[in-house]
Amino acid sequence: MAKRRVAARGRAWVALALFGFVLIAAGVIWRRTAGIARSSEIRALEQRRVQLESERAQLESDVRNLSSRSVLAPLVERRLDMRVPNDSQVVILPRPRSAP
Amino acid sequence: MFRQSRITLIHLSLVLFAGAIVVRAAQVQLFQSKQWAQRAAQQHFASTRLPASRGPIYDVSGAPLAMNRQMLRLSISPREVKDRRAVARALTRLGVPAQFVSRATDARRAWVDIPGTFAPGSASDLAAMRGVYARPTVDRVYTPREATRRIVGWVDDTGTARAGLELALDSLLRGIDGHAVIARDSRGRRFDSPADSDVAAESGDAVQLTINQELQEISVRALSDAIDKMGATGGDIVILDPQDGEIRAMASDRVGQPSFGNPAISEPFEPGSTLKPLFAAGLLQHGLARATDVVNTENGAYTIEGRTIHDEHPAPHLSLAQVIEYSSNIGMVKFVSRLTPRQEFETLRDYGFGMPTGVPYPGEASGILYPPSDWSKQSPASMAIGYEVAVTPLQLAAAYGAIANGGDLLEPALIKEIRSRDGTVLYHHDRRVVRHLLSPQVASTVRRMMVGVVEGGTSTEAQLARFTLAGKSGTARRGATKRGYRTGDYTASFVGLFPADKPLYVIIVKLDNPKATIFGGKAAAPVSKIVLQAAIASRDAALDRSALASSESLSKVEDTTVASAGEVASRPDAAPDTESTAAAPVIVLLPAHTAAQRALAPRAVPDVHGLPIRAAVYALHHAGFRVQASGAGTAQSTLPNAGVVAGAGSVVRLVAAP
Repeated sequence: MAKRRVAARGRAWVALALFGFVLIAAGVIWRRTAGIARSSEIRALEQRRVQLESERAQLESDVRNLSSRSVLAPLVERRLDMRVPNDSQVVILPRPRSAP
Repeated sequence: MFRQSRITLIHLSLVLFAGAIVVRAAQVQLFQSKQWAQRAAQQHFASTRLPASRGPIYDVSGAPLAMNRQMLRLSISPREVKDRRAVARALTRLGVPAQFVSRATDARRAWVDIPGTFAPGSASDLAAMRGVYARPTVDRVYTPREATRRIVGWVDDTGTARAGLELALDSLLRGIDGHAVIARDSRGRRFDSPADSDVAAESGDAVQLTINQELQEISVRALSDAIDKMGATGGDIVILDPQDGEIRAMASDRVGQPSFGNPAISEPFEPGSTLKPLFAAGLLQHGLARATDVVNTENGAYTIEGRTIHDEHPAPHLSLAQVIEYSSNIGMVKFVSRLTPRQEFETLRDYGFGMPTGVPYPGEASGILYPPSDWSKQSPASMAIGYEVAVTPLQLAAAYGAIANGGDLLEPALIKEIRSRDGTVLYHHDRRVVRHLLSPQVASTVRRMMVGVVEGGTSTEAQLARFTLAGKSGTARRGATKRGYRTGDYTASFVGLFPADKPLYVIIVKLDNPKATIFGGKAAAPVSKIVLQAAIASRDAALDRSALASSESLSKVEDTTVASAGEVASRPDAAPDTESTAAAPVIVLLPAHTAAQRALAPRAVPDVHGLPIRAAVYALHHAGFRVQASGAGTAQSTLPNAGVVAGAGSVVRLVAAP
């Protein structure tokens, strides 16, 4: 009777150890899975950032090109009949003395 | 008994099996561990190159000229592709040529590299498909592309620098690539590796040029228009700040030739009469002539060493100042004969001719300057009028910079500053004097002579209404052959110092083979006027406006050697009454009015009391008056007073708080 009780207690310990092992293993696997999921998310966000920065660079370049003198000057001369003033038509105002 | 031995046998087998496993495990773990670890790493991890971001290039005001844009390069493994139709559709949407679309979906091929680069936004769907491999790459974006192409250069599709400053400064700009380790799962999906073995890419250094983008665009357009108008085969414009040697603009155009290289730096030409003021300065500096010295100019024809030299404006006698003003070849030959050949050679050599300026640009030419031992008997006379010597437009600009700044030959600079990625200044351009050539008095005298060229000499078409310009034109034959020069081929050039009293710009305009007129004063001088007018009107053309404002007020008053007050007043675009210029700290000059506008009826002076000076000036201007303002704060009063009727176009004095 006592021998059987000792055997049952031994099996309980083994079961507990196994359960602990499974628990720890599940925790490790969950942590790795979550890590990989976060990593994947970070990678996707990084790609999105790169994509947006690339678009921003292109748009800024387009804006600079379109607002450059070489593009605007012929347009305003043709459409608005504007022209470059001669030097006598330019007013140069002084910067106030107090300004840095 | 038999049962016992069978159990023993099974136990023995199990023990042997377990032993074999342990032995194999020991073999794998202890003796073959490195090979297996290596194979596992190959399967689980991939090393990927992190391209370094190329350093940006800015103009002098900080406007970007060359920036980066991250793009994707695509490769396809057709055998791994599952949905070929989807891949084909995505490739077609990206504009990939049909031949590459069919190759990319041909299962007989193992690997296909798609040409070109693609924006991550448009290629992200394709890059996520199985069998499609995307590699990051950095594209260079240039703005404004054409205006600065010859200076900045470019990099090709593979990121290799091919020309211009991109090539010259490649070691600084390109940076250092990094690499990262990416983990792969069994389905080939990629994840950032938990191992911290990434080496980040190091961006290239940022380079700031001395070029002003606005002025560069003005120059490029003015040159292009002039080439069209004059029927020239090409031309160059160089604008240099003579006070610190910084190059502000450098435009070149060659009809029918691709925009490679920078002829303003690499193509020397015979400068013709634009060399005369440099010799005049040399003569004055050596004490061998004065501006008032007179020589016999032989009424326009003079034979020396078997060669007859002609003047475009024949005269019996001319002073040195008049020789410059009317560009007399005979006069200059006679004046330069006062120099020994050695002195003549050294005069030109001291201006930096015959050697590179040292500007950091690939392929800079030295020009041509032969030593006296290689001269013919005609060489001294030829060189006096700008032949048998060849200079680049940049060398000529640097030489005139010495006349402009009071006598110092400065090293021209194209790079203003270089900064590392963390902002540390690695290089900053400081004014570097190559040699002191002229005294300030000599430089000033030569500038006054050059003012005469623009005010009443050969280059009146360069004249500005409000500012005094010093200049010198040149008309030189070109296309030298063994039998002489090609008929009808000329170089028309003009050098301007703006404004004459304290120049902010040295401007060189050169046109090759102009057909409408061959003369520098007619073909090239007006181009400098167009450029300068646009620069004055521009908000950002690297002009010191306070210096310009003071120059504006003084310019026409100071110069008494060339144009008398009466001559100035008689010009149709002459300045209005600028009395008391010395007392008024500021003079604001307003548009010259046409005859039709002047005929308009008188009107009341508007009340501008309390307005900021800028608003007050515009209000008065808008009402049709010219304004002479003093002070810098809010408007206090006007003369005539507000409400008084005055003629349209008349001057209203505006007094503002100091």
